[in-house]
Amino acid sequence: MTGRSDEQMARAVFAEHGRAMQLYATRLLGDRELAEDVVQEALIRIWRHPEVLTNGQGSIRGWLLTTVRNIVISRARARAVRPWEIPESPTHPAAVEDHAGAVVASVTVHAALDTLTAEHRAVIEQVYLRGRDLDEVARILGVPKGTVKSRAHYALRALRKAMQTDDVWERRAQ
Amino acid sequence: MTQHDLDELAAYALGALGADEASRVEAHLGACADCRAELAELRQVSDELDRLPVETFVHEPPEGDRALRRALRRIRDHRGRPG
Repeated sequence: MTGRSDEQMARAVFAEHGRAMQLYATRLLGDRELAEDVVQEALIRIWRHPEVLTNGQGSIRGWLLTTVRNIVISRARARAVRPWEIPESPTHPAAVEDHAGAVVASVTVHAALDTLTAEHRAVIEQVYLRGRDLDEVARILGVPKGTVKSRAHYALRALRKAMQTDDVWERRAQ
Repeated sequence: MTQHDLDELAAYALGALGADEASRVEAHLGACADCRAELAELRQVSDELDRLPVETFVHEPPEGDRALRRALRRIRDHRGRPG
């Protein structure tokens, strides 16, 4: 890889995913400067693993956010301070670096989301991540409530199919 | 919900129903093994979504570019090294 394309890659990754990494690292660390250092390190890691961008296995966003999380955790451990709770799901042990299987699983879930159309993805985003109820989502998206429900159903089935194909649950268990 | 309504069930699995709608779904679930099985499958997916950080869905451009500039400096330094 030439120097110029290295730099273009880093710039493109940062332009598309930089804000998500900044917000995630800041949320985990509670400190913007420390977060910036973690984002920088994540960019270096993807520069060292350019195959992530091209191998078509999973999503770049998923890989980067998982990498951010792992950097935060390994730094907390390296400082030999008691690692603070990493706010993730209750079933996910706090402050434990993801095992390879779990990393693949979380990247795969991101990738499954990438397979949804914008319409279906928007419903998942609004309902699930923003915690909105059906009436709000219908109003925001400008579609009838029944349409929101049928898109939610279609999206969940499509996600399940994509996750099954990639053995998400089997990888979780590894 | 007195009969199968899979769309309603999906909204229920995502926690998007109001209290009245949710209790109607629950009444139906109590009497319908098919819908309970369907709900279990939908829940597997929603549990995976639960693990995703909310930043998965951030679309805004980055604020500032210090992290990028520092990464680029390291990349250039690495190139400048012999071997």
